Amino acid sequence: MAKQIPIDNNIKTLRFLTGEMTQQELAEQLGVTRQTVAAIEQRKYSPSLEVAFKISKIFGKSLNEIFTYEES
Amino acid sequence: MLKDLTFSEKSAFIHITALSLLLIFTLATIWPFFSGFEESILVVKPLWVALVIFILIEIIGHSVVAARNNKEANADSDERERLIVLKSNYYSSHLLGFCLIGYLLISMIFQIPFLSIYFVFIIFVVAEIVNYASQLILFRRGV
Repeated sequence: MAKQIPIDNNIKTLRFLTGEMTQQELAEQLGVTRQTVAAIEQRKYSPSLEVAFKISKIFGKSLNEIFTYEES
Repeated sequence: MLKDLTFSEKSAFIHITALSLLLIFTLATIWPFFSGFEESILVVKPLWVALVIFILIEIIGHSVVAARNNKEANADSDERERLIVLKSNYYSSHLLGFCLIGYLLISMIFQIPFLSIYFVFIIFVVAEIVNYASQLILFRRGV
């Protein structure tokens, strides 16, 4: 039933590598809910550019290193 | 299963329950009309009883859910939640508009001698159920 967006990401890995950051901690830094972070990680929601740039800034990586577009 | 739901999902669930009860009450009120007792529609049963029950379910349900999830209940909605609400409103408003205009057209074309408040009310309630059901689906399935 769950719909997957074509944009994959490695946020879960990056969280783990950044001091085992929790979804809640990342959500607070982004100004979104924990459910939204979970939805992004599970490819159920495509974040806005603003949130994507915030994620990139938090992990110190470029957008290309975090998000990849998978053509079906 | 209910423990897995977020505050917004529980809220949508309460709305659907309350609206479904309101719909059942309204359908039960107008049912005699379809059974051939046309005069019974003239006896306007008090919809306010159903409305009071509806409001009570909404208040009690949301109070209980908010008390158990006070952090989530006080938080502002984020971009994903706003998008879900926007999409759900889009679906329900189309249904509402389509059904109301359709009902008005059928009434005019077939010279139906009444424009019952009940029918308009039912269309409105169904549109709201669709709205909250869409929210629940989009929260679970993804948007």
